[in-house]
Amino acid sequence: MAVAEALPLSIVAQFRATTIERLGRIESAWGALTQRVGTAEGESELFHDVHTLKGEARLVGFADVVLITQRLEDLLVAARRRRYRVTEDVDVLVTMAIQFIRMLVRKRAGASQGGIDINGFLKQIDDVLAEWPRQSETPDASGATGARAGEGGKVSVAVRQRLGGAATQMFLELIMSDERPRLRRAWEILVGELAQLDAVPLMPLVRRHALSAKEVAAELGKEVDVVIEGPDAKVGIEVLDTIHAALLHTLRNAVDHGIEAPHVRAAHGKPRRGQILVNIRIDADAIVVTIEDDGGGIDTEALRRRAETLGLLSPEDASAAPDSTLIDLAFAPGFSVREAATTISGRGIGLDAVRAGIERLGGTISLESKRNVGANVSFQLPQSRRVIDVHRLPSTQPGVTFAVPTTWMVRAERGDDSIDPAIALGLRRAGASVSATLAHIVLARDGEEYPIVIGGSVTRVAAVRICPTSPDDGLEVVSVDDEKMLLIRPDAFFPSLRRSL
Amino acid sequence: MIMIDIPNIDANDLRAAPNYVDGQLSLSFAGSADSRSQGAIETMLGRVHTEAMRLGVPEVAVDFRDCDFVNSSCFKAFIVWLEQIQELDSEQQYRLRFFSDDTKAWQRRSLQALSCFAIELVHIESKPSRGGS
Repeated sequence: MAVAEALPLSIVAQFRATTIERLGRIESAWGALTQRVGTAEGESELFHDVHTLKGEARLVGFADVVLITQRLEDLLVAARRRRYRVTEDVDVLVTMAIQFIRMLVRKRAGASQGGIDINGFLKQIDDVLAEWPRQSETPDASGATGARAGEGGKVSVAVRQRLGGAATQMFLELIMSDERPRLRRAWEILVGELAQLDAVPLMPLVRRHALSAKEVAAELGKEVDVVIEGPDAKVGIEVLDTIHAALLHTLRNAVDHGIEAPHVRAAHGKPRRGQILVNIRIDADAIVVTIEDDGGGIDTEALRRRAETLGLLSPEDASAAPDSTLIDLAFAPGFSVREAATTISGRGIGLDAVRAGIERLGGTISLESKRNVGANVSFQLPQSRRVIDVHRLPSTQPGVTFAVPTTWMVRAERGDDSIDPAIALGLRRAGASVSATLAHIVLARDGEEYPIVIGGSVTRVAAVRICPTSPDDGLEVVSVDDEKMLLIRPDAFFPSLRRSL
Repeated sequence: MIMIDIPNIDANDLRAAPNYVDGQLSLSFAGSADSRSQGAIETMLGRVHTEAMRLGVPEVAVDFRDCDFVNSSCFKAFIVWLEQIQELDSEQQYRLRFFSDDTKAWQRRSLQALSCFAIELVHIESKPSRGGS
């Protein structure tokens, strides 16, 4: 299975040339702004270039470039908010992001993407962004900052963060009140409303892709109906971007590789018009999108031959591999059944990036196929869009859990003047019963160190930010499955604590 | 004894020295690499690449532990170096093993990001600082 846009090679070549030139401008403008010699025009052009790059990458189906450019844009927005007074390692990361995009764009048609860890790189950026305001505020094409058009973002970031702060305070009260039911209900309503502030409708995007798929089918001389089923769900903007990339590839792939030409379908006793069903379902806190076509299915024999040719499987393993193993290869970096890159479909880039984007948000993707019956791609994404890696720190107060971003190091060490966050927050009075296991640790980053006492061993988990607060706020509530934790930002939390003492 | 043709760097707060012992090619950085050192680093890494190919080493070790900082311009030289390795035929490619001091957040973050360009070619090993800085 391969990426399936039917674009002339000349357009892809033009995209590559234009993007390399654009990246040069982006790099220069970034350098000027961080060295305080940038101009307002230069800044405006920078955002315009990044925004345009992202749009063009979408058009030509470079989903991996879209993902990295989106994060680069997030970094630039965060940097602009700080008037480009960024730390050196952020500067390095921005420069690397530019180089990363350049590398992806330069990759020869058909060249392997093996060894490139898009998911890992996105995570590096996310770790940095986790320390900064994380919101939907994105520059528009003119470079002006504002909510995205049509995405309903009328509430400013500052207001959202203040509401996040209020929700966090309410959560503290909830703990101290021993879980009063009415207070819990109020807190849940507030968190639910906060989630809605960032939510955007999904259906307009699905309809656009459906229309686009039918246009591609017409260009290929095929006939297809695209049927959309499901509620008019709303999703977080990051989820929307990921669904966008996934729909782009799966729908076009279904049209190009799945749905047969009318005369072929007729020969197989099928209706001349093919059908693609896009089903959207909301399951608890997840959104499930399924794309099912009644085409020819995946040619597993072609996959088998290609896997052997590329050295991914030995001849023995290839001949013995079950269809499910072969189908899994469709997600391997750089894998394509097409040997010649006559269209972008043969570039072999995309499905791995789509999976990387989905998995980065904590989602899953699966692919099933039956020869001459059709293929089915299904992906599931958590509705919550903010995922952050944290150290989970059990509190000395049973039932309360803290968390610290993994950008902080945790050392098992008894430091001077250790603080018990549970006592500092008034969640437990000194001398009251405590967790059976006390542990002394030091939170360290960039020369800052904070010794604390916790109530157990530290583990690393991915948490969802359910009510994001400002990076200047020391606390925030995050969630792992059903467990709610108090995220501590040590650089904001402990100094404010000392000031209040 | 096999000689290597790689210049040292000892200027503008940066010291970098190559070493070739028992078939192992390594580079040690100490101090800070800012824009003033960009040219010297580019030249050095270009020579390291040439020598690594000439010697046919499977790996080049780069020790950052005593390095206080490498700015974005200088880091770009490492990306270019990595891309040069990627462009080689697979049998000519050699790996880069970075020794980092994890207590320096910039090293952890920057090197991990660098490894994402070619996870098969970059290995990061965290070791305590040798006490230089």
